[in-house]
Amino acid sequence: MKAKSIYEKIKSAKVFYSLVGLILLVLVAAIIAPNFRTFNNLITILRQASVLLILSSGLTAVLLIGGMDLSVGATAGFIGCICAQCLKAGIPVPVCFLIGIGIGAAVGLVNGILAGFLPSFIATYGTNWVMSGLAVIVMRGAVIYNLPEGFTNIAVGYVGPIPNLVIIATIIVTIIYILLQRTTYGRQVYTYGSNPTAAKYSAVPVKKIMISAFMMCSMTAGVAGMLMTARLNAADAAMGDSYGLQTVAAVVIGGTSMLGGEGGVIGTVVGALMLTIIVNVMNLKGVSSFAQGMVVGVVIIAMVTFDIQNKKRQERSAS
Amino acid sequence: MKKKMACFMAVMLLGAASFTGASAEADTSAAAEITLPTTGIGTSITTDLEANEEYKIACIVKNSTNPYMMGCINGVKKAGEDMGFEAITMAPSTNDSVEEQIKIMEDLIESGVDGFVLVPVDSNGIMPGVRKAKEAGIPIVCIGTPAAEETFMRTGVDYTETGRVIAEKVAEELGGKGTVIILEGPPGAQNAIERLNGINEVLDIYPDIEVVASQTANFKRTEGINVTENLIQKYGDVSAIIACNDESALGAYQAVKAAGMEDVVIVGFDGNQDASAAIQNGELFASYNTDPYGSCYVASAYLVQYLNDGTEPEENFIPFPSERDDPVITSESVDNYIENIAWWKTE
Repeated sequence: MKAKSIYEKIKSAKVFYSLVGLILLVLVAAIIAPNFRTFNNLITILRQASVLLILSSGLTAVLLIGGMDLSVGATAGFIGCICAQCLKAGIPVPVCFLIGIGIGAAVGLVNGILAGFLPSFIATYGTNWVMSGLAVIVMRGAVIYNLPEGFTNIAVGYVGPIPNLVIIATIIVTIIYILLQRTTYGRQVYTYGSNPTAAKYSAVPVKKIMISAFMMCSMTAGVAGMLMTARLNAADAAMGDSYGLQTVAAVVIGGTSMLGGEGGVIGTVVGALMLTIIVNVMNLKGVSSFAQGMVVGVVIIAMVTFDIQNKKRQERSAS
Repeated sequence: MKKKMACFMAVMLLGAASFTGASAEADTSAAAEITLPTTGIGTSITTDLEANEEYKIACIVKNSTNPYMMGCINGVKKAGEDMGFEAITMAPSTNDSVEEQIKIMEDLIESGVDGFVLVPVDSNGIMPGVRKAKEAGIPIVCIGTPAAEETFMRTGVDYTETGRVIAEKVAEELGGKGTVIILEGPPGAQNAIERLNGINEVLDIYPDIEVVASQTANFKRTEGINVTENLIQKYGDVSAIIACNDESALGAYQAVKAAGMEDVVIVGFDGNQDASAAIQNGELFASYNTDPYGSCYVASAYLVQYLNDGTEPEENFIPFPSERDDPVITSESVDNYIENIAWWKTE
């Protein structure tokens, strides 16, 4: 009896079907691509997913309050560029990191304030432009490269067999997980996301919640941008561009609702891993470059459909 | 088929000739019959040409983030100083937006320009702008990507040729034997396809060179790292990685270095700043100087010639830099390249 209730509990968890989707994807990958099953490949996937994991776990907070941040990619790119410029100017690595996170906090503050009186979709679409514009200005069309080894090692180095990047990503994801799932703050985020009006009347500090979610998001974007720079050993103004929508996709694939109040960081981790695994498997299988974009699209649609259909069934059986 | 083969042989011979420094032989080739209105390559390019009037020549590039595009802009600006015309340089505010390129063209036609040096985002997409310019009788030189219909002329590299030249260099270095990974450009992009064809054309001749994987890295460094990491999982030690641009080649190097592999011959295309430093350090083996600076300078020179006295170019497509311009950068030539030629240097 007890085993059954645990099973029921797991099955009724919101993240359950996203996880099933991930497991299915891994199984299929392991069957069709034998090289997928190696330990090294596992590490490779985790390392490649790290930047996306950091970006998307921060964004999860914003989606949970029913907001949207389209500027994460550009913010990451901009802060990566600033960080590279600072390093080239001889500023020590830890100070550069603090500057980067500080700028992230400032960007988040602006996003959060704007989102107070504008639809956040449009507000952050605007900041997205501002950020990529600033990046171009900061870089003046050049690429900065050959950064100090003390900096690049953060992204390239290992602790035992585990890449530093994976460790950093794990720490950040865990912090955000605890903040959102285990604290009063987290409960307020969910309350506000599922019903803003009710939240206001139940003494949730609405403004603070909103601004802090955007700040969390932009600060993680800053960290991600700096790690991206360290991994590339270079910074160019356009480097964050491809991450913008991919980050949103990772969060949504992971089952976080774009209407707010539903989902969480665990789902986002699943989403980010899925997106990374798809590309990894296509490389291992030698899928033609022409077909790759299409395959990614089809898999995303299939995954989200699977997730949503099953959630509906879950809700029906619950009621 | 026969003709293609003959052509190909000629190119191979030419390649061999230019690498051994036998320039007398190269002079007999078709490409060498064209006398450019300029001499030199990269920032060492010069001309005796002078504009009869202060023409307005507009350079429209794809974006303002890519150093290649900055090279184009600087090339036209220098040409303007040297030949005495007014250089107008523009880029869309949305990176790689062909719609915006068309708008810029329309505005410039309206305000009155005498010629365009154009780096189109897309051959077909740019056509509305090209047609308007043609109606207004304004000559257009396309750089790299041609417009769907023939314009006044086209220059920039012949992408197929760049692929052939670099692949030949790699085959030579490998002694005609080994395993190769190719990192392709964006799927569907014409220049990337041509370059890939050039590479494969040459590698196909070597029975002992096996292309174990050919995957896209979208010309990006991040994807260069990721794709190479993934492929190393499957193929382990490879002899060479031919990346279809420098950025993805540098990504490939990061992955190879992290995997502790040595002696992998990694090549790219463009001869950009980072790649040049990497060639100096022995991280990359070679790159092809695609010289946007010189290309746009040459383009401007042809426009000035035409505007002066109606001189048309000998061919509609005059590749630059071509084999005759000695475009391959290796550890031997890299110092001179950085010192005197490199298109990315800001003056």
